[in-house]
Amino acid sequence: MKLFQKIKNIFNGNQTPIEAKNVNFGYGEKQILKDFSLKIGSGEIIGIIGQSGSGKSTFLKLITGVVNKSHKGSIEIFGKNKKTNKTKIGYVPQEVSFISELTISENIEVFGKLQGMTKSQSLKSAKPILDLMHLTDYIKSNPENLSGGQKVRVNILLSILHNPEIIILDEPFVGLDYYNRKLLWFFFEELKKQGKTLIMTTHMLSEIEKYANKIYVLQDGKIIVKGSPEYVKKYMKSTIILELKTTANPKEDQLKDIENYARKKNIKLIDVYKKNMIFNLENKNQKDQLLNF
Amino acid sequence: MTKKKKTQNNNFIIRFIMQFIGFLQKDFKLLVKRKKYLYLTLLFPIILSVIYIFILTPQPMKFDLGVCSLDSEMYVSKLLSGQEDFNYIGYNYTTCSDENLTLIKEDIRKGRTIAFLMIPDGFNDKITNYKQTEIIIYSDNTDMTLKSSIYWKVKSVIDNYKKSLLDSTNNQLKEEIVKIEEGINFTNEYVEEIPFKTIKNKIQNKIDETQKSIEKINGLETNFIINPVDVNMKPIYDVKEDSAIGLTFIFPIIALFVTLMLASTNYIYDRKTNYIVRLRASSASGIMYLISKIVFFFVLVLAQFLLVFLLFKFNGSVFNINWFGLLEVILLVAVVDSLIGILIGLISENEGVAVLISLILTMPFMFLSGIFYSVKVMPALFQTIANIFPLNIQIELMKYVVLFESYKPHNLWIYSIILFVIVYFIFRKKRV
Repeated sequence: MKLFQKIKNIFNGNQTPIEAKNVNFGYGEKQILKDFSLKIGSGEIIGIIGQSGSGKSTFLKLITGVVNKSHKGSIEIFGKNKKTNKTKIGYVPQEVSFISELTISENIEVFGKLQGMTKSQSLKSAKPILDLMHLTDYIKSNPENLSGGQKVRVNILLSILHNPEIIILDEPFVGLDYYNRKLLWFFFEELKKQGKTLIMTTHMLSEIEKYANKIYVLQDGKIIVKGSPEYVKKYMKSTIILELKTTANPKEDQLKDIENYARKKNIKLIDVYKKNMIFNLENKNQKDQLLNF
Repeated sequence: MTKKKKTQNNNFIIRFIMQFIGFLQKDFKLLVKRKKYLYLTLLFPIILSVIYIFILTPQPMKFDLGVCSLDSEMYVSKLLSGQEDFNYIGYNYTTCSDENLTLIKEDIRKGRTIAFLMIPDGFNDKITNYKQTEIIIYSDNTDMTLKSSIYWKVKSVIDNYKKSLLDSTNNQLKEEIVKIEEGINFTNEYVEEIPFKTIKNKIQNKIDETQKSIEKINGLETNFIINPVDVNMKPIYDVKEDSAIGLTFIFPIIALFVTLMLASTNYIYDRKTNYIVRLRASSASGIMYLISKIVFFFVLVLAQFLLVFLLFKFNGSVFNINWFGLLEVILLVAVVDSLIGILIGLISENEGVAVLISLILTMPFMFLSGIFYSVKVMPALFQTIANIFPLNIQIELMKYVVLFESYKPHNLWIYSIILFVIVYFIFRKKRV
């Protein structure tokens, strides 16, 4: 893979897949990204983590052009302005998006055409992905009738039909069970082997630390720490990231009670996201304390 | 140009074409799959055209008319003879008392009869002695259009009766005049024998004056007494068939109504399914997306026009069509209406709100289009507003291209370009 990367770098003139320099962006008076800079190499899996509202999704949308508003600083894709190199990016939106009235193969055709591909090109490109994603048997099915995990896979499939070199995923693991997550990681590892660059935002710190080459931690629109997973964990003084999933529909004050309890026990709460709470634990004792609540 | 550059350009062109075709294919596929929108597109023009052609276009019809006479029954048959607008329902209410009047009114309320005609007592006596009389019509005064219709129909029936009365009076008058003339001739014969010249001349002069007056009266036409000044409307346009005029406003109204709703909900659907997000993340351009929408709705509007046109032709309407002009008008209708529809979609949170805004916009457009009241008789401010509405310009253009085989210069293209720029600007800036 390293040799492949070297050959690729020769063709690309040693160009970095994504390079953002001093990006500042906001809506009105609200500043979402502040002096945001990063450099991402080929064949890497990059994780961007942070609390809700820290600017993770906004950054991804800025790279891909989903957010059209102008910003300060620069974002370059393989050394060129992001607008001119869109064909090199595949964006997987957070919300599952396909046309529910059409079958998977019809969706492949429609979204392939969006990338400028003919029907046969789209289906040819989709075939190995369908096999890897275990979706081949469902190609004539309506994606609306699939399970949650299968819908997420269809969502990813439709975003990478054009074989992009950079794949940007916004919270790809939300709501997935263990099996689906494993399947997705298997797939992402295959993409990485092909030399693709994957950038994903996630709350699943415990999973991304196993697979990511680099992690960026965002807080209030700024990168507070970046580096290898081990470095980031050390910096944040944590050995365990615990994600608590609430199965019932918790009320606000019930979540507040857990938060207050955690504070009393000096357990750091990183984020509350939908029905999930994510804690940064220093040791196993804290985990036991939390689970005893 | 190097080979690499040429390949890149070809790839770009192929990609461009594929993306454009892809936009259109998606919309057509969805139209077929989401059948309610297909039905709206095709059925609504048919339904509205049928309503216009067969219901709103005046057709001869008979009303059930109740009649009671306080005078003699013979005047009822005289009054209604030869007319074809009413089914005469004879009533046994010869006295037309207050009690019967209550029953008569009840009959009208319950719909047993459309209206009731009452001939008052003394009707014949007054007519015979050249005195004005009246006929009373009882009808539902809460139905303004029916009330007006009945009044004019009864008036036309009475006018026929009046004409026959006046003809008969005129004939009687002429008979009297003949007798008078005979009397004058008889007198003339003996005037010559009067010895006193002065007296003879005076009598002769008076006879001559009387003769002239009689001639004048003899020349009196019944039509002059009924209607001394007749108003004759002459057209300034050579329109072969009046029913064809309906197409010129029915089609733009249908197109406006359907396209506004479809275009707005179409855009919202794309937004809801995150198609817009994927579009923005792809190399496809927003301009191409919007143009593809215009092309899509042009096809739909064209299909609607053909349906409406065929229905009018089936009804016997005759047109003088400027085909190139017509194509341009249909294109303009599609451009303007679809862009307004997309604009509604851009500002609406969901499909329900979009449909509501579409309806709210369509209503004033329709009222100011001239379909119910002519724009020319509206207050000046409303005339100004109406004349800048695209619907009014479209209706005016339709008249020229389908009725007069002609063309009228217009500024609808400038309108379209400005609208396109606004829509594109909002489309780009809108958060998804």
